[in-house]
Amino acid sequence: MDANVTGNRKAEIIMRLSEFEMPPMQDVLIVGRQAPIGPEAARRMADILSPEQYDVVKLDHAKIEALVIRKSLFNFVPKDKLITLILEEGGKIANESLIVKAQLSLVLQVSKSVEV
Amino acid sequence: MITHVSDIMIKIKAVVNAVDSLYKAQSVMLKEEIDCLPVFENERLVGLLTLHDVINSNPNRIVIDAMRSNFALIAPDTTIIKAVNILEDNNAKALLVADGKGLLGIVTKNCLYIEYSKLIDTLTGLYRSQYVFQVCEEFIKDNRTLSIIFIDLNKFGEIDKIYGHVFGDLVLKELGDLLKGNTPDGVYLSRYGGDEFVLLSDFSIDKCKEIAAQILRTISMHNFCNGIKISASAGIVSRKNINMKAANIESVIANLINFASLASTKAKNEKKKILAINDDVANEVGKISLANKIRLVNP
Repeated sequence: MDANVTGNRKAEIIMRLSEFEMPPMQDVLIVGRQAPIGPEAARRMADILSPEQYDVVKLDHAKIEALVIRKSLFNFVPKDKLITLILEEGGKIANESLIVKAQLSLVLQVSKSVEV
Repeated sequence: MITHVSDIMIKIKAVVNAVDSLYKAQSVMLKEEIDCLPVFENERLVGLLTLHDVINSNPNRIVIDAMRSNFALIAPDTTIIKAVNILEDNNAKALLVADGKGLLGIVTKNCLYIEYSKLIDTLTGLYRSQYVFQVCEEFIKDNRTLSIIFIDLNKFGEIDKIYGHVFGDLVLKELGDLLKGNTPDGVYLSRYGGDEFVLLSDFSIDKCKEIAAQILRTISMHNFCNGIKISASAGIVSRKNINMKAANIESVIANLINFASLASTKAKNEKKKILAINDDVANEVGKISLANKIRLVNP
């Protein structure tokens, strides 16, 4: 090496810390037909991390193979209506090779009047 | 003569696990030179993975997310025609062959259709004699009455001699179309040999006589090419409760077809048009003096 040339090497480390989501898939996964993870793999992953909390709904849809949905959502909204709703919006951005995760914030509003 | 799926199946060389990667499954397929793999999970058969499934899926997936679970299990003695029905009913790409002890092999759709195509006569488009045997076996397995109408054209050899075999073939093709259009529902039509046709059903012998009479009438009234007129004779045999445990079911079927064939010959010779043999074939055969011929098929 030439005695006049100097050099050094540095490694820069950037650390980002955040809480691990449990499970890491929020409320709904929209699984594309050519997605790298299929619905069964996604369900098994969810089942290991959060046993019996997710359902797989296979679909007859051109781009979307299945939805993996948190079961507790069905307590708020009937299954068919929820699926229609998810497909209506999710179907616009989902494509065959993607897995899209969706977060649903459901608020049940009840108003009752009581005679006094 | 009767081809069963055990004759054409590919023996199971390898299986894959439901959570194996598609890459692994593909490697197994290439190594074993097979295009279909049974999928197991916890020692239970859960599906079937075809090369088509592998190609059609993201390679990162696990087997269970690429396989098809609409597979069907069939017994090794299933006939080709029955296997095709099962395949189509299940919209499957392959059938798994199994007996009481476990999986034996796989029959792919392509392999099955190649075998099925051998049952079709290229001249008339009708089924061939092998098909007759397979349908007969299915009838016997289902414990249905087996009625055979054997139709033999009268003096067809003369047409070949006078007009040539090419013309004879045209007449046979035309006759095939005519029979297709005049075969009632529930009757299986086939070209048994040169100028012989067989109709199978589970109908009574009287009903078969009606059908045969109608068909013979249709043939004799039809103007074939060059205005040729043809007539035919028919032999009918009908049997119930054929013992499936018979040592050789194929020879039982062969004998029945032969009885019908001989009956058609006798009808032709005696100018009766139709000759029917009742349920008790052995006795009836004696009555129509075919004992010597029967010995040939029933040594």
